[in-house]
Parts: sequence; structure tokens; C-alpha cells
Amino acid sequence: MSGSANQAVGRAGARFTPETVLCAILAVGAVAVAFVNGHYLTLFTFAAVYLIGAMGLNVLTGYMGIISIAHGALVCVGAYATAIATVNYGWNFWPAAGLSTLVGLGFSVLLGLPALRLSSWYFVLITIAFTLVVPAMLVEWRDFTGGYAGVIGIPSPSIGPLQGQTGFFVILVAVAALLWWIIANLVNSRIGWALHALRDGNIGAQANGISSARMRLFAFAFSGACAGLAGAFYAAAKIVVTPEEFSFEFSILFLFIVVLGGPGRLAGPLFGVLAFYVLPELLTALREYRMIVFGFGLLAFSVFLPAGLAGGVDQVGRRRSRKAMVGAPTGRLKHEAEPVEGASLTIANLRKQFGGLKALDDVTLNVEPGSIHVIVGPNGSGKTTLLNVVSGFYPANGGTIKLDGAELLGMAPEQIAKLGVQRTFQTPKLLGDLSVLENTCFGAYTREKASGFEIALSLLRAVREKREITREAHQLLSLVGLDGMAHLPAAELTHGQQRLAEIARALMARPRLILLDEPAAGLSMGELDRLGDLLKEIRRLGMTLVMVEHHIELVANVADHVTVLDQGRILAAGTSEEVFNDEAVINAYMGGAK
Amino acid sequence: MLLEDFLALMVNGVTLGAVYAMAGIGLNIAYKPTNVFNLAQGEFVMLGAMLGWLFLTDMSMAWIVGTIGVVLAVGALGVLEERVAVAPHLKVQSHHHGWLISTLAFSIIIINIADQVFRADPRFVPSLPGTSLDTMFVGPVAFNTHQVAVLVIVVASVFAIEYVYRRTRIGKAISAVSEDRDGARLNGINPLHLTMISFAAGAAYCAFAGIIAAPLMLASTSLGLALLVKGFMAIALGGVGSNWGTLLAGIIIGCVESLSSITLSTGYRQLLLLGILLVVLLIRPNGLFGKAAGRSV
Repeated sequence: MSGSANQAVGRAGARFTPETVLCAILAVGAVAVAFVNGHYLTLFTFAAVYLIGAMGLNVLTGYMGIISIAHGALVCVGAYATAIATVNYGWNFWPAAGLSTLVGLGFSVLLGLPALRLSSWYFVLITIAFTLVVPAMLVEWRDFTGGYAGVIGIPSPSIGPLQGQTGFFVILVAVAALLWWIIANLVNSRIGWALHALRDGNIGAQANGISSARMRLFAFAFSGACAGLAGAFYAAAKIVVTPEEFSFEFSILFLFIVVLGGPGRLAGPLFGVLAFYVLPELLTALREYRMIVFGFGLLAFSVFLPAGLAGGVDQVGRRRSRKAMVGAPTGRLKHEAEPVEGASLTIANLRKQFGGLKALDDVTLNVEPGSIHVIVGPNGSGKTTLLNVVSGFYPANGGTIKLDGAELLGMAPEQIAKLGVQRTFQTPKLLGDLSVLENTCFGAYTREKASGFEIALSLLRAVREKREITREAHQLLSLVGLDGMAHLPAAELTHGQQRLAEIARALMARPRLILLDEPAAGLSMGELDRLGDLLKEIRRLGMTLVMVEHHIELVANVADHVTVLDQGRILAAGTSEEVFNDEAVINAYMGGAK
Repeated sequence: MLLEDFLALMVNGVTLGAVYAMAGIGLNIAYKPTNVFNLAQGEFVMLGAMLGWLFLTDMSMAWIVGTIGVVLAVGALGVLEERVAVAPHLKVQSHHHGWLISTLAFSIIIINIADQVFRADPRFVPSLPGTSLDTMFVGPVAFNTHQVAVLVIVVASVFAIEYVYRRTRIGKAISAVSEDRDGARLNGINPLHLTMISFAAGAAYCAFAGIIAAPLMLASTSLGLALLVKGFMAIALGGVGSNWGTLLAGIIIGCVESLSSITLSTGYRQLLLLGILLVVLLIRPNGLFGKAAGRSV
């Protein structure tokens, strides 16, 4: 109950930030000004085309963090596809626009393929090369493209009563609004969070079951499709397309719009188009020096305001509204989460070497389904290495790791996550600028069923699933005692709270095996008690729990089984009582007689 | 095709490729201690060529004086770039490739200011002292002495660079920083100085490349972007950080481009090279001669 009330407050709060208000005013203002006279109508027609293209690039460059110089070149390819299809082959505008969208998508994916494996700066250079090739090819391939003369007489789109230049503009505004809505749906879903996690190089992304190659492919495809579509409209707005207008500057303008407007922000491209396309067009005197001014602007923004104009507006707004949210009460432990069937974990003869150092030396251990198994040991004894090998972050040098009989060795972290293994980290890997609730919902990544398409169009299944996941996330947050902070950005939590939030996120996946790396470190006394209850609660739900922990009292309180590691070898194993009275263990810990 | 024609194209291709390799090596030099891929590097070649025209042709300075002036001026610009566009991003430990944007911005500023100053006309820069651009024959091979000098200089420069990295204190320090920035810092190496030195050296090297390349390809302000792409192709195919690999790959690219000019016009040649690049990167992400290093995501 309190959860949904909170949510309503959070939503309402989020809806009227200065960023969104300014954005709405600007959008309405731009549409109004466009109807003043023919000159402004043309200007804003192009502005809308740029906006459609830039929104696509924002997904790739802003949300995914991959910089592309070729976006304008993809718009160019899209423009020529429509021009040639309509003029040379007599197609109607709309099927031609569909063709342009596909062509843009295809080229974008093609250029992006090497970047699936390589660092993203390769992609920048590949896109520069592509941007130089496209106009040259348009000239060369003159039988098809008309060479320097270009293609003349591209028809404008019309739908029913929407005819002529005004009708075209209304269509563009509608398409832009639709695209805005689709992107908003995507970025507020697991897809947007996954892009965000990958952009920040968040190691937790893999642990959460996200395939970086698939997400990159999606971003290339989506941005390319938008570029192609924008190209179709561009051709129609221009009526004539020639190779000359698709210069390097044209391509780079999209990057300016996105980076300066506010990368990774919904309103960014709108701010960018208005400030860096419409404004310079109005100030014609500046045009000759525009690129120099833009260059300096880009340099200054990249250092001082990486969040762009939209981010700047948002910061100003946040400074004023932040206070009211701090100090919300913490919740109580509730028991509503559904039970899970835990998996067994069987590790045999596991070896891991770093150079000459044997981090894990012939480790064999057996974890019963639904039990709490604690790994203890002095610093450097290989505990975290063990978790890293089990979750797939490190390859092993030998041995086997079986989850309910299925071999995990050799699988990538995201594949292991998909089998139902979740983990937390010594330093919590939450996405700091997303809310605690969003971070928790993100944990459901591997088990969400709604496809990207359903999410994009906010279809029934996606909406239902989102509602259900949000409800569960609130439950889990109240389970870890953070429900009152659900709408705070994760970065504002204390270290201990972030740990608990990360556990909630891991639980969200309903894992069969959960690996916790020192969950008690940095917790206050009260939080420590709650953690003990939480761990027992996880066991009650049926999950198998493997945890690395130093806090002896906590271990004695919850552990079914304890394994002591020392210098990569198993020193002792048994119940906590047996282990802590073992002489070898006492020596290893206390540095006693050797 | 006549043997003479083939050989002439090969000579052309090898020389052109050597210039591409120099652009790539400049990228490598700046990349080494920073892992920053300087998108303004091509513009340093362009500036080398344009300032070479200004000092050597327009102001008729002695070759060595003018060249030193150009190299110092562009080297200083490299330091400026490092200070304003790279250093602020290296301070922030994050996976955001902020420097991609800032070095791109720096290159846009250079191109557009150069456009305003020099305008778009191609410019003539004299050949190296003691050489000429007149064609001469040895058997069936046609070449000019400037081309020979360029090749000798490129090979010698790679020897020199590798010697610096292997044998000198500062070179070893740079290698150490490229292996492990924090580890090097703990050993009392200041990576900031090395970053500045490397950017200055990379810029100066590229400026010099511009001066000696200009007589072969005419200096114009659009040179930089094209050479950035060719230099990138050379290091992507040769293996990032490997200067010998870059040299070899640059020469291969130059020869492919030169030989394909018989049947392909400019646009198609660019498309062919882009196609080769994409295919090679798909099959061998670390380049033709690169070692399988850990993948960086």
C-alpha cells in the first residue's frame, strides 16, 4: 500500500521537472512559430527531420555511449533510397520510406559488426571512413544516383486531409512524437537500463544476464532505422537531393545536436535541434564561423557539461527539489515473496592461477540446495576469486563447477546469470543515477518475457509485466528495509544500504543460486541484524545461498555449512561450530604457532 | 599491364603507404601511455603540410629552419590539445570515452580555422633537400629521389622509436605506463608528464610526416581527415601499438590503393578499402599482425 502511494508521488514528482516543462514549452512554441509564415514552416520542417534523426542517434550515442560520425551519412543513404525509389521507380512515398528505414538499419548494423567485439573507438573511425565514402560513391554511381545532378522531384508524404507543406509538417510532428514515446518506453524499461549499465562499463551488467553484443546490435539497428527514416523525410522536404549537401559537416551536425543537447536524455535532441540547428539558421551572419564555434562548444561541453543542455537544466531543477525527498522512513520485514526451488552447486578440483600464484588450488565443495554456505578465510585466500570463477568472470585452469549437474565452466557471465545464478559485489554495482526501485526492477532482466517490440509500443503484456515487476520490487525493497527510499537515486544511499539494494536486485531475478560477496561489510548494527533475518528469509524462500563473509557472529548465526579457505586451499569444512574450533583455522586466523 | 606500369604503381603505392603508416605511427605514439585515440592526429599531418607551405614556399625559409619551426609549432599544439582536451578526461576514472568527443572537437576547430586561413586551394611544398621530384629510371623501375628519402626516413623513424621505447629511461617509463598506469605511478613515474611528452611527440612526428608527404600529394586542408582514416586503417590492420605492423599494413594499403587505380575510380577504391577493413576486423579483431590481446569492451 505504502509502496503504491510512494510510486504515485515519485511519478508525479518526475513528471514536472523543469526539464520536462521547458521541453513542452519549447515544443509547443516551435510548432506555433512554424505556422507563422512559409519561411518558418520550412525551417521547422527541417528541424523536425533533424529531430527524428537525432533521437535515433541519441539511443546509440547517448544511451549506449557509442559515438557515431556516420549518422548523417546514414540519413543520406536513406534520402537517396527514397529519392530513387519514388522518382526512378515510381514508388509511393510511404513504401519508399519503409525501404529507407531498412536500408539505414542495414548499413548501420554492417558498420557496427566489428564494434560488437572491439572497443568503441574503432567504430568512430569506421564511421568517419564511411562518411567519406558515401558522397564519393554517390558521384561514382551516377547511372543510379544521378551523379552530381542528384535526383529531382521527390514527392511529399500525405495522409488523408494532411496535404501540402502544412500537412507534411503535421505528419513530421506526429512521427517525432511517436518516436519520442517509443524511446521513452524503451529507456524506462530493462532495455534502457541495460544500455545504461553497458555505457557505464558496469560489471554488474554481465552478472545481471545482459549480452553486450546483443544490446549493441540493437542500438546500431535502432539508430540506423531512425536515420533511414529521417533520410526519407529529408529527401521529401528537399525535393532535390545532391551529393554535395551530405558533407562531413552534415554528418557531424547530428553528433553536435545529441552531445550538446544532452546525451542519454529524452529531451536532449529537442534542445539540441533548437539550439544548434534552428538558432544558427536564424543567425545567418554567424554561418561562416559556425563550425568553429561548434567545435569550441563541443570541447567545452565535453569537459564541463557532459550532460549537455538538458542535463544542465535538470541540475538547476534538482538543486531546488532535492531536500524534500531525504529522510524517508525505512520499512519493516514482510513475507510476501514467492518461493523458489534452489539449485545444488558442486565444485570439484577447481584450480585458478594468476601467473605463478595459485589463487584456487584443488578446491572441492558441495552446496546443498536451499542451504546457506559460507566461505571464510583470511585476506587473499581466494574467496572472491571463487565467486568470480563460479559466476563466470574469471576462466578456471581446471576442475568442474556444476549447477544442478550442468557444467558452468566456460560459460560467459551473462549465460550463467540466465541459468539462475545471481551475485553481488564487494563494492555495490548499482546504477547511481537510477532510482533504487529502477535498480531493483532491473534485476528481473533475465526473466522478463515482454519483447523489445512490446515494450517499445507499450503493449498490454509489457504494461502488465512492468506493473507486476514494480510490485515485486517494492516487496523485495521492503524485505531488505529500503522501500521508503525506493525513489531516491541509488548513489544517495549509504554504502550499507546500497549493498542491501543490490541484494534486492539479485533476488528480483528469482535466482536458484545467489552469491553474496561480503554483504555485512559497512553495515550499521541495525542493518546487520536485518541482514541476518534477510539471509534466513532467502533460505526460507528456497534459494541456495553462497556467501563470502568475515563477520563471525553473523556466520555463526546463519550458516548451515562453512568452508575455510587459506591460500587457495580448503583448510576446514563443516558446521560453523566445528570449523571455528578447528585448530588449523585458529592458527590461520590468529597467526598462532606454525 | 606493362611491367614498367606495374612497378611505377608499386613505387607509388609503397611511398603513399609509408605516409599512411606515419599517420598511424603518430596515433600509436599518442595512444601508448594514454589509451587515447587522438582524432585530431590527422589534422597535425595537415598542419605540417600547410605550415610547411607557409614557411618553406611562401616565406622561402631554409628547409631545415622551416621544418624545425613547423615541428615545434605543431608539437606545442599537441601539448595544448593534451592539456585542454585529454587531461580533463584522463582524470576521471570512468568508461565514458569523453576524449573521443573532445579530440574530435579539437580536430573540427583545427580544420575549420585552417579552412579560414588557408582556404581550400592545394599548395605546393618543396621536396627534401638534396632530392628532387624528377622521375628517374633504374632498369624498369621509375621513381624519384624524394620517394626514396621518404621510405628511408619512415623505416629509420620506426627503428628510432622502438629504440626509445626499449632502451631509454623515458621510453621504458612510457611502456610501463601503458602496461599499468597506476602501477607505474606507484613506482614514482608521473604519467601526466609522459602523456604530455607523447602527445607532443606524436603531433611533431605527424607534422614532419605532413612536410615530407606534401610534395607527393599536394597540401590541402582536407588532407587531415583522409589521413586520419588511412592511419587508423594502418594501425587497425597492423595491430594497435605495433609500429612495425603499422608500417607494413600502411604499405599494403598504399599498394592496394595504387594498384586498384587501374580499374577503380576514387570512390570505389575508398569503398574497397573500407570493405577490406570491415572484413579483417571481423575475422581478426586484433589486426593482421596483432597479438590476441585481452579484449577491451
